[in-house]
Amino acid sequence: MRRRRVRKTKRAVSASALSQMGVCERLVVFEHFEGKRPTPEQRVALQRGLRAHRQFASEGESEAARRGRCFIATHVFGDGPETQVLRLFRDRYLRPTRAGRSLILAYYRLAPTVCRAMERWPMTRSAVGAAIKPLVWLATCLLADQEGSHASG
Amino acid sequence: MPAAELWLLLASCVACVTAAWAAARLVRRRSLQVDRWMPEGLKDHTLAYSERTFRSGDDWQVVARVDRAYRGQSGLIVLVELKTRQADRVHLSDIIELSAQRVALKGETGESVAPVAWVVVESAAGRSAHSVRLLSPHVVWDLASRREALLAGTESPHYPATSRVCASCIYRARCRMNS
Repeated sequence: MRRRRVRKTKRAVSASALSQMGVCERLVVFEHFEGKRPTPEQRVALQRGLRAHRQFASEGESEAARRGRCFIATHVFGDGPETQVLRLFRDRYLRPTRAGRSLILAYYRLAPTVCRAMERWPMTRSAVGAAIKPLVWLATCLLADQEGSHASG
Repeated sequence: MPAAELWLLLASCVACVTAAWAAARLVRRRSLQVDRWMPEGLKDHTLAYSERTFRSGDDWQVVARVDRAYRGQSGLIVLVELKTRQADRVHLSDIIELSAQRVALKGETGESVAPVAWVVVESAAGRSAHSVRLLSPHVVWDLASRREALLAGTESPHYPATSRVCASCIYRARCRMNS
């Protein structure tokens, strides 16, 4: 068992390490044995790249907040695990089918009204939360089942 | 209230309004610039993953950090990779990296990933997106095997196709090509 784990770690490779094969194979070997030695120009470019990636990531986050929000669940549970499960369920089970996509569309039309109602009458929030909980449980079971079948397949 | 103080108050108000207008214009221009690179084909997609690491569970474990992945109406995932360059150009290494990301994402989530991805090059001229056709998983695994063979010393490393990459290489003095 232990030997198998060691073998698996040995056969792991990162996408960026693999991409270096498209630059120069000799550089791959040099860098593997002697480490990365960026020139001052490359170091500056690396910093510029990191800054650009941070900016790109923050733009992505604001875009996700604008477009991919699970309104009611976010309102009731915040960004907690329940919301994550429902988002995953939406993306894996509902989005691939036509009926599922119609359901998502209907939900997106209805959700802002429900959220406004919950803001106006805060006591309804716990009732909506209690109504969503069984759905979260069902989604968790289905996702666990899907992951189980992936692992065995 | 003396007239001088009134004028000062008025000038402060005008300065505040001007600053707010300039800031709003800057933000709007920036957001327009940000969205301009987005290809038409991705505009109806939703952002599925951003800056997330995936690991394929195969015999060859590929670990990849995905800049962005969009999900289309059919559920198909499209990968997007950001590169900062002086020239607006796509390299073979970008295609290899995206192909490895495809293997890792598909391996971890089981979701279908499109064989075509996008490389967004950020240069002095701004951002522009280039469509690229990805390598098949078999080619990725072959590359991983070749890399392992190179590091083990059982295969000899090839020289690059052009000597242009050598110009900025710190090892060029020791590389046989230049000796």
